[in-house]
Amino acid sequence: MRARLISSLVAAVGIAVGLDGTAASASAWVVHLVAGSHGEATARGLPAAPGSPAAGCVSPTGTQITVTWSSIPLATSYKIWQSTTSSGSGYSVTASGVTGTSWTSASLANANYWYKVSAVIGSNWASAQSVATGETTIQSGGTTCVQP
Amino acid sequence: MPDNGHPNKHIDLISNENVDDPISIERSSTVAPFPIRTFRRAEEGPPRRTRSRAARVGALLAGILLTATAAFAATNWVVGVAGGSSGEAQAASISNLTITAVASPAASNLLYPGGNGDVVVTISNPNPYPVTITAVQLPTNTTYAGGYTSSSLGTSQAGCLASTPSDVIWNFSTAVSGSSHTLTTPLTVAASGQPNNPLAVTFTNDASMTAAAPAACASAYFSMPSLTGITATGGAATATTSPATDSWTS
Repeated sequence: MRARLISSLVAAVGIAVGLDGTAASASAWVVHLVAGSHGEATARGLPAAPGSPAAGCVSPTGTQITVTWSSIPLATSYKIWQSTTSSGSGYSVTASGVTGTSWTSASLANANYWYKVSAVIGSNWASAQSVATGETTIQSGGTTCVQP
Repeated sequence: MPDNGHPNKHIDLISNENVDDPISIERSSTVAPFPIRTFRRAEEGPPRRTRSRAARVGALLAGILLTATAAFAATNWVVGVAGGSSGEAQAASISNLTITAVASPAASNLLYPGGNGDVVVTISNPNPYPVTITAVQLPTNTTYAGGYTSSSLGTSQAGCLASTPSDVIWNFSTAVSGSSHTLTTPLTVAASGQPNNPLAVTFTNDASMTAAAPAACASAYFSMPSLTGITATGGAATATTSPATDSWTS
């Protein structure tokens, strides 16, 4: 009789546990993701044009010109644009992939020179051209390089 | 009573509960009938009347015990008592979570060629219990995000499509689809209807833009490629407060 009483109690407890199985097993449930679930990211704008570009003679008796400018955040390189026409037109790229904040030309022919600079991030993100530098003249004679 | 010479046929009954060694005797037809009392030897246990009473008491106690225990909260049950009858934890798929692209809170880290940026999401849990996410599974590193002109992700950005490609991918994604990446901190999304569900999360620097990204992608908004899955389990846990910040770093 005692054994039957004990087994009855055990069975009753077992049933109660079974009914409460939700709480006991919930921590093991694996939850998945609805298809197409994703997120959102945002990109920066193109870099700003470098500020304060300036051109100067390497030497008054030389034929090379040095161009300097202010750095742009995240820029990985710069392009140097040169014009022998005027400050406002006729520019073409004379150097690219320039790192740092200065560039020196090779020996130049006699002419008036103006320069602009643009910043580049990566391979394809380029800023607008900076404002033009002042005119720098290469000429023959004793003073071969004249700064504005 | 004297035996009349036939001890097996005519023996008067004697009833004495106090006899130490009572014996069973047959009723005699020669004497007036009276209630028969059957005795058992002492070594056989207490009398039947005693055993019947014990059974009634036991049943009463059992009833009281079952009634009382039914009033307890479920967590008070000691599973170990149910010897031989065990509960089995199931690895069952319940209602899935949904991760949605949102623009708020605004990302602090923006994408640029060769750089990483934040990804902002909300996570919705439709289950009646908290769900804890410990890892995400990513598509391949050649599955690109699509670029859009605004945060509503309504109009595609020309020249910056997933097919262009945009060169925007999930950071740390690999050539293998479904690579798993552990979150720095597990995220627990509260049960349905509770505060902090949906849960807004910023995954810091978990988008990546390669150096070759087209210039048309500048200032664009990206719908990141769909996740292939998550590692998550349901169960009691403290919900993460929204908005949250998290990441995977490998």
